[in-house]
Amino acid sequence: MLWLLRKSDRQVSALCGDLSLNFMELIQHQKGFKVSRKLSVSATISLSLLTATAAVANEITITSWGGTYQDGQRVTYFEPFTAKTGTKVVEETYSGELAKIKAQVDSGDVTWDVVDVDSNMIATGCDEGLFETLDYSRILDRSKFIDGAATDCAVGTIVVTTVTAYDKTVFAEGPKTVNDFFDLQKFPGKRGLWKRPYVNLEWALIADGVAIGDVYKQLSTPEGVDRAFAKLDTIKDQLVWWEAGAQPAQLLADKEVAITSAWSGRIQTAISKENKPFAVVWDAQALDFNFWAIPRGAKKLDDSYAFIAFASDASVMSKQSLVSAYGPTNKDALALIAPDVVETLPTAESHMTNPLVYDAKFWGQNGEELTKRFNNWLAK
Amino acid sequence: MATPAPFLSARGKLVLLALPMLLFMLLFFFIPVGSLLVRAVQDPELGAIAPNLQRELRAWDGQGTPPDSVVLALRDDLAAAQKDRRAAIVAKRAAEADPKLRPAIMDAAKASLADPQLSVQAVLNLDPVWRDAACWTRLRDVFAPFTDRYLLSALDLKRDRDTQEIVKVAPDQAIFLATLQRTLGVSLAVTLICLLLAYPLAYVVVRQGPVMQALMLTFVMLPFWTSILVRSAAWLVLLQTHGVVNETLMSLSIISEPLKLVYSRSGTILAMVHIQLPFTFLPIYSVMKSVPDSYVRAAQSLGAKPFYAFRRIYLPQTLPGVAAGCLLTFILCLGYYITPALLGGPADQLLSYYVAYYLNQEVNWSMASAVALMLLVVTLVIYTIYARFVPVLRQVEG
Repeated sequence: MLWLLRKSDRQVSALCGDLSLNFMELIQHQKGFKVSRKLSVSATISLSLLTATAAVANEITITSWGGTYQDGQRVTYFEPFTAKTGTKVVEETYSGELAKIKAQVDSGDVTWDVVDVDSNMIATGCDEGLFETLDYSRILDRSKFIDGAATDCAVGTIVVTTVTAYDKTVFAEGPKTVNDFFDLQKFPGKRGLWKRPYVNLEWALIADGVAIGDVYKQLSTPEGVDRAFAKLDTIKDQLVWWEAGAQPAQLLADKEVAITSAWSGRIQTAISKENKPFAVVWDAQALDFNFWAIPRGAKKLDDSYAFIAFASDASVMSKQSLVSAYGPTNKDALALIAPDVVETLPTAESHMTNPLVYDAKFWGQNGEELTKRFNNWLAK
Repeated sequence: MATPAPFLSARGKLVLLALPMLLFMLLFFFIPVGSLLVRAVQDPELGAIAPNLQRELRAWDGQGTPPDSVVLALRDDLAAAQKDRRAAIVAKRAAEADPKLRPAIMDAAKASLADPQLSVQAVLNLDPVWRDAACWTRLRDVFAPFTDRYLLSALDLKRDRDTQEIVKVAPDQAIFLATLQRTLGVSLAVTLICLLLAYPLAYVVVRQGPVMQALMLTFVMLPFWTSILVRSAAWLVLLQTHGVVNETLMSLSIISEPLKLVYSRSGTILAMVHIQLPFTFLPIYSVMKSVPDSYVRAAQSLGAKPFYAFRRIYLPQTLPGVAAGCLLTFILCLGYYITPALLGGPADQLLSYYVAYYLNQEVNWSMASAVALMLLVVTLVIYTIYARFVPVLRQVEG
């Protein structure tokens, strides 16, 4: 019913604005729970239509990952975009379920106009035709983006990295490299890792002496995979596995682990907002992106492009680093960010000495087999 | 005086009354679930992306080298698919039959899109794969209208690439049977613990006055009012190494080292029991409420010892509640996902994890359907056993 309401919103409010409002009040009343963002936005649009009958209210639906991340996007992108263009942003949230996008594309009824996706989703979804091929002349020149951020189907919005982090009160002289993560003699204590093969296998190889540039070549061979698992075996009994992005900071705070892998932004938030005595090890940080993408068959392409172009603008993007510690993908944005904030971002020059560039394409092709093997290894 | 014949027989009236519900179930449950499960043996996507190739491949007998029409259909369909960015779906599915086919198909798709007039010989020259008759046969199998590939894979089996015989997959790839076994084991443990806790509790609650009974029921129902995620997280706070439980025990000097309560099988089971307890409790409670005390008193007045009276008179009368409560708990446990992920150890992944994995991560809905089908079959088998079990109980009751 909400869906119908949204679809017919324009016509309904043009014909009988009063009625549609009453109708929505009725639903709100009947359901008896807090009015959802979607509904309240519909209501405001209907209201604005009543007052300005000649205006055509545009709206696009943008789907992201919820939580503080989306709160930051609202302040940085959604509200300023509406203020500038008059196009309303209807927000939805999801947890990266590619199935939800596929269901829309396959049925031809695409209700999400712009979606925030991660690189694994792009590696699978781009090849399988789930996203529009982007026309960069309508966004920003490709050369303005840092390497790997401008792909055929999606434009990078933030640089996210997987790093290792520790509690400074536990180690006076903390770990410096990924090798130290695997060194139980020098740095005794439990280790936290994400309960997925991604990045773990790469780090295991790096700690075993493989050059960062050769990691994926090695992982493509059965011997390389064996080698990675053998290295993980050396710390297996000390490992604690985390599942959700909020867990690593909690694990550190609760002294459940001494060192953990984590998404850098989460640790940075714990340091700057909650004054936790954590430190980030930037060595071999696994560089990755979140992207804006347009599901194939989305209907409001003009507005979607307008939004992505707006969000890729250096001055707009530079403001996101103030609310969450992710790096900007527009090369020009870094210069607009205060130096002390830059130091907390993965893209700061001093952190970029030897990054591991996460290869989503590799995982797209080998993920199933390696995930099975990883889970088998876990269960033993 | 003859009574007029009823417009509908009693059975007819019942059917009519249930009709809206049946229609609802058909439209919103059986048809969607059925159509998804069909994907376990059929991949509708390939035929939609490359219809001509599928038709030509199926028209070919699969012997020797394929006729030109097959090669041309490959060229045309892949070019069209590449234009839509969907050729990779064909390549991915074909890679399940033979990894060499993936790059070959992607190259052919790109070349065909660049030059739609590519000759048969030019296509065959693109990659050695296309000059290998065995690869064409494998491609033909990929486009078969029905396939047992996903079902076999869900049972840790596969067809040998050359002999087509069913063989076991490599040990490091065999994951589903062990996971199924674990899922059943955890579900059984949770069900038994729930039963041990719920039965005496229900017995006590039934014997309270109305006010006390309402109060106790409220406490039992409390877990229903919070989301599973919040409850699981709360258990984390209690059970972790430096959590409330461990700190208390250590400050009381009951233990010297923190116990490993979380990130283990026991943590998973504990949290699942907490969530499932009301589901076991309520059916037992409602059955116990309808059991009159007079039977047990009669047995005792006839000389039965309390335990004997309980075992022979009371217990059999409450068994339908026990069976219903246990069945409900067991079946719900089979689908657990969040709780084992947050509280479980590395070896506590349950089967529904893989349904989500194939649905969202791999976007391989056929494989997701095959794993879900396995779970559904297990549930149906258990339900069948239950359905046969219950009439026996009714006889005991009567």
